[in-house]
Amino acid sequence: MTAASIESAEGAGLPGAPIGLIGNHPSIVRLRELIGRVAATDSTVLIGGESGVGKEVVARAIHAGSPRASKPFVPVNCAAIPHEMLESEMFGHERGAFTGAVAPRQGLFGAAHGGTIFLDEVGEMPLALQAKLLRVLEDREVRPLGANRGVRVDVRVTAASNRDLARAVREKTFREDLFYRLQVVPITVPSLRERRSDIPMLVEYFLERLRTRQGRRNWSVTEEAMASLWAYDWPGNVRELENLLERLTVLSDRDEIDVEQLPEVIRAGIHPAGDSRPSVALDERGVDLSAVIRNLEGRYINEALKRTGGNKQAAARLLGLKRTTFSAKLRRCGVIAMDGRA
Amino acid sequence: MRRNSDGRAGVTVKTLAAARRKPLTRPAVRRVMVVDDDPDVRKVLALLLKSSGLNAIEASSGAHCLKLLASTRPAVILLDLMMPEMDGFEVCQALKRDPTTAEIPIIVVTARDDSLSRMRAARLGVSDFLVKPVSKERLLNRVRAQIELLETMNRTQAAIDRLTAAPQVSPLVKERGRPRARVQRARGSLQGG
Repeated sequence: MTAASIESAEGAGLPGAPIGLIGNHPSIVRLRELIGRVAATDSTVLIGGESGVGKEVVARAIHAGSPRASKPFVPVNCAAIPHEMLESEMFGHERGAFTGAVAPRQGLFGAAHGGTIFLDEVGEMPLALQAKLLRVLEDREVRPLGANRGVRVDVRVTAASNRDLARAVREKTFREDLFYRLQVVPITVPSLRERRSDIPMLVEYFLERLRTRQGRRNWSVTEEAMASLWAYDWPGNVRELENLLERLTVLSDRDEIDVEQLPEVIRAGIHPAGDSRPSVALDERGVDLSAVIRNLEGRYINEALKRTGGNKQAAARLLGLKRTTFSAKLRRCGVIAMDGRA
Repeated sequence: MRRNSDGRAGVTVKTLAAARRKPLTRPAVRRVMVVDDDPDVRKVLALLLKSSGLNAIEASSGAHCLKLLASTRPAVILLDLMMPEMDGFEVCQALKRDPTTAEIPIIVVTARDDSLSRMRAARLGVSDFLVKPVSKERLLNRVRAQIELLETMNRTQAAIDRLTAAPQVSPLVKERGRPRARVQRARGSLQGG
């Protein structure tokens, strides 16, 4: 997997336009500008944001905009490599450093010499290795396993984590000194739901890409389906949207993606009141049942007010409530009616 | 809810004066502009924002909004679509055309619940779209999300500024009474961009 990741970095096949950075949302416009500025410096960058927002895309954009652009970009997923192998993968090893080390190996830092290394999921790195990484950042030198002397490396470090590293520092699972070393410039990539207005543009972009890749059809999304895509919260962010569109275009025999083809969870998202339908999916994180009930009440109250043009008496009747009970619920749910009255 | 004789909510004048005292080109992160022709809606939204520690500036029309923006920079604009004379879409267009206001996130708060309006708003670069009636919690969450985004971007920008600031510029930064933006421009030009 390591060889593959270096290859993908060195090959010219950087995925064309930077996907995660497509959009018109003010935050993305500003992020692009900030990336351009930080790329020109040689500073270490710590990229935060939920999974699927495109943290690696940002790291690649920083690399591509930097004077190191012609040198390798080496992504390392610290969570995907077994802990006991991570050190030799990152820093390399000498022949005979451990059983099975029949030939010396350069390591990913060495492979990134002159270029940029991207340490994804850096929060998953074991503490012992964190100390070694800190030394690399301070001395600009790596010491391969079994070697007596360090080797100078010229590498720009970018790192990312979807965990709150400041909290990991408080919980003593991440070294404070390393945290400050990494976060010289902190960048947070916004989640897709924080920049919903970019969804139509991203949909068009992905469909266009799928069209050129598969070279046959002109996919489009109906307005109604687009409204559902807009309303959905996208916990898996841009990656989830991309995967969904890919699946839909593969499975569909029609050119038009309509709302019926969307997964239930996305279709449920669109509601006349614009509120999301509470799902009964229960996972290990549990659920705040009273909040769910309040949400449901709020949605019925919204709908009733909407149907009665804001007449509370009539809305209460629709819901089989006394006006006083209705008003109390209205206050509790905190609904802003169309006429502004709470 | 009672209207003033001129049909506007009374808070406007006061907030406008406050805004004049302290002109800002950088957005004040706790300031939210509410643009709606219905004074009741404005009032409710303003109270709601204030209750969660945000300052509200009220604008009673698109033209009023543009006029206020000459002297104040809110972190977020809550914009109604259906307004007489200049509708919300036109306001959006005007805001996005002007580079000094183009980056202010706009949250549309409207009774129009059709996908055409949504799409049109998206093309115009609005940040979010909420349909009335909307729950207070939802509205505040969306406003806070935009403000938090702004704050994280500000943090990144500050870090880059620190990094790229030329040391000889520092006396300028300490100079009193000089608007921050001008100092920053000066700093930028010294570095050659």
